[in-house]
Amino acid sequence: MFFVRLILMAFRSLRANLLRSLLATLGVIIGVAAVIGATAILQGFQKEIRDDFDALGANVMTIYPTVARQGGRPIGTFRSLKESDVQAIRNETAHLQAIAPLIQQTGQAKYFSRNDQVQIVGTNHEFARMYTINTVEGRFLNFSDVSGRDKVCVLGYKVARELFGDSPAVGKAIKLGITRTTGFRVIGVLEKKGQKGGFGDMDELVIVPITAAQTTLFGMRYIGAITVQAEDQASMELLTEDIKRTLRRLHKIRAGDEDDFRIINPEEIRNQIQDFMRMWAMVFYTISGISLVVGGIGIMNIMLVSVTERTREIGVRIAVGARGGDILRQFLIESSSISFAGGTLGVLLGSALADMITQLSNKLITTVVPLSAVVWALIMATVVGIVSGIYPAFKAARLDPVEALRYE
Amino acid sequence: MIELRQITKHYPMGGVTVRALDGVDLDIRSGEFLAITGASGSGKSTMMHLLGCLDRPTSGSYRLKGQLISNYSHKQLARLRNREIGFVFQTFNLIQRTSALDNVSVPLIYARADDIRHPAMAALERVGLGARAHHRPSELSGGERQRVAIARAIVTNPSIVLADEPTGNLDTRTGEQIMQIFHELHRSGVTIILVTHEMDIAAQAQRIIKMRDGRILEDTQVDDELRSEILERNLRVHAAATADEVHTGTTG
Repeated sequence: MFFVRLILMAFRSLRANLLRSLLATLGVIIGVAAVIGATAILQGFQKEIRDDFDALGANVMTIYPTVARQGGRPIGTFRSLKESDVQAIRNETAHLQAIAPLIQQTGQAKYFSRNDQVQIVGTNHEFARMYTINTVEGRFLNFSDVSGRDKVCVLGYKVARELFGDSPAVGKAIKLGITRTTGFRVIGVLEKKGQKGGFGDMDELVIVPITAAQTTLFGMRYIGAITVQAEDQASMELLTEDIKRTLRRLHKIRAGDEDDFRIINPEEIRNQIQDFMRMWAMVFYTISGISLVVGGIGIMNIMLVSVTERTREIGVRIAVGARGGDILRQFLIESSSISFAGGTLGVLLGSALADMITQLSNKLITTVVPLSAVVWALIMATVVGIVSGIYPAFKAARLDPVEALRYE
Repeated sequence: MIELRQITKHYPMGGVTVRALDGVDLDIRSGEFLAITGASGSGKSTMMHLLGCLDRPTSGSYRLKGQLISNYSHKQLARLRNREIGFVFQTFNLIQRTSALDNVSVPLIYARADDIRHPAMAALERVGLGARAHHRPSELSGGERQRVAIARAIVTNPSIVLADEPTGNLDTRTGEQIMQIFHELHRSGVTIILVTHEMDIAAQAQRIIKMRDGRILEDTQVDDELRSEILERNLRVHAAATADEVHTGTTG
C-alpha cells in the first residue's frame, strides 16, 4: 500500500512537469524506437528467409557440378554428375535419408488446345519425401516409374488447373517438351503449395521420372544436380565429407586438385545471412545504446533540477516524518517512471516506423515487432531511469531538513 | 514532557564557530502553551529545530516523554517527528501541485497508515476547511493555507505542535483566527510551542521564554495581569514606532 502511494505521488509530481519530463527522455525515446524499428525489420527479414529456406526441405543439401579449373584454365565440363554418382552416394555414405537426381528445364505442357509454360523437373520417387510433397489427386512417382523410364508425369497444382480446369487430370495424356513434345500420362496432381522453393513456383512444376527426362525430353546422359537429405541436422557435416570422398574417387580427382562439384548447404547460406543480419543488429543496438546513455544523462539532469526546485518540499516531507529511504524511493520511482514512459513512446514510435517502412516498400519488406523486444526495451528503459535517478535521489534523501526548509 | 539539559549547538561558519545554543536548560510540561521569543540570531530557530527533532544538539541531553532522544538515529527521529510532532511554518510550505487533502495526507503516507482519506478529511474539518479539501493551495487564501498546514500538523495526532511565526505572513485579523485554532488545540490537550518575535502573539501563551545569544534570558508565567501589561506596553511601543515613522519618513 505504501509503495502504491509512493508511485501515485511520483505520478502526480511528473504530471506537473509533463512536457519537461518527456523532453528529458528524448534520448530514451529515440534509443528504444531504434531498437524496436531495427528488430522489427531484422525479424521480418529473418522470417522471410526462414520461410524460403523451409521450402527447401529440412537437412537437404544440393550437389552441383562446377567447372574444375587448373591454373585458371577450365579442364572439366558442366557434365560432371551422372546417375552412377547417385548410386555410389547411395551405397557408400552413412547418414543418408534420401537422394534424388535433378534435371530442370523450362518447357511447355499441352492438352489439346490448352498450353502452359512449365518447369519440367526430372527426378526420382525420393523427391517427394525430401520436400514433403503430397498429391491431391493420383500419386507421386514410384520406383518402377523411374526404373522403367515410364512416360508419366505429376502436375503442379496450377498446371493441372490450367490444363484441366476443375475436371480430373489423372489418366489423361498430355504433351510435354521443350521444342518437340512427347506424350506423357498424368499420374498425379500436387497439392497447392503457394510458395517458392529452389525450383521456382512449386505449383508450376511438372515432375517426370529422371530416366524418361534424360532419354525422351532432354536427350542427355548427365544430370543437373543431386539433392541429398541427411538423417538429421547433426549428421550433415559427416554426410558432406562422405559425398566429397566418394565423388572425388569416382571422378578420379587427384589429391591437391579442386573438386568438380559443389555441395551447397542452405543451412550454411542461412547462417551467413544471419551473421550478416546480426552484424547490422549490432550496429543498431550500439546506436540505441548510445541514445539510451544520452537519455539517461537527460533524465539525471532533469531529476537534479527537480531535486533543487523541490528542496523545500523535501524538507517538509522529512519534517513530517519521511525517512531518507522514503525520499530515495520516491525519486527513483519518478526517474524510472519517466524513463518507462519514454520507453513506451519509443516502442510506439518504433512500431510506427516499422509499419511505415512496410507500407513505403509496398510490403516488400515485412516487419515483425516481437513481444520480447518490446518487453526488453521497456525493461532497459526502466533500468536506465533507475540508474540515472540514483545520484539525484541520494542527493534528495541526504538533504538536511533544517537547510532544506530554509531554502529559497 | 520535554526535558533539555545543558544543550549546546555549535555551527562552523566561515572558520568561526557560532554558538547558536549555549547551555540551555528547559522543562516543558505536557499540555503547556509556550512561546519562545527573541531577536533574530538569539537562537530561537535553532531551539525550534532541536525541539522538533529536525536537528541534534552538539552536546547536552534531550528527553521527550522520558526517552533520551539526543542520540537517536535519523530513522528513529523521522518516526518520532511523524508521530509526536507537528510543524507549522511561517510560509506554510504546502506542496503546490496537489490538493489540500493530499497535502494533509502526506504525514499519514509516511506513517504507512492504511486509511489516509478519512483522518485527513477529519483534520481538515477540524480547522474548518472541509469544504475546500479539493482546492489547490494556489486557490486558497493565506489564512486558509495556514489552516491546511495546521491540519497537516495535527493529522497524526501528535502530542506537540511546533509553530514557527505562524502568523508572520498573515494580516492581524487572519492571524487572530489562526491563533484561535491553536487555542482550541491547546484546550484539547496538545502541547503548543510557538516561536515568534511578536509580543502580542507571545502574550497569548501561558509561558514566555525569552532568548538572547543562545541562552534563556527570561522564563515568565503569564497571568491575566501580565498579559494586559504586555499588550499595553506593546501598544505603546507600536504607537511610538508609528510616530517615529511619521517623523523620519521611514516605512520600517
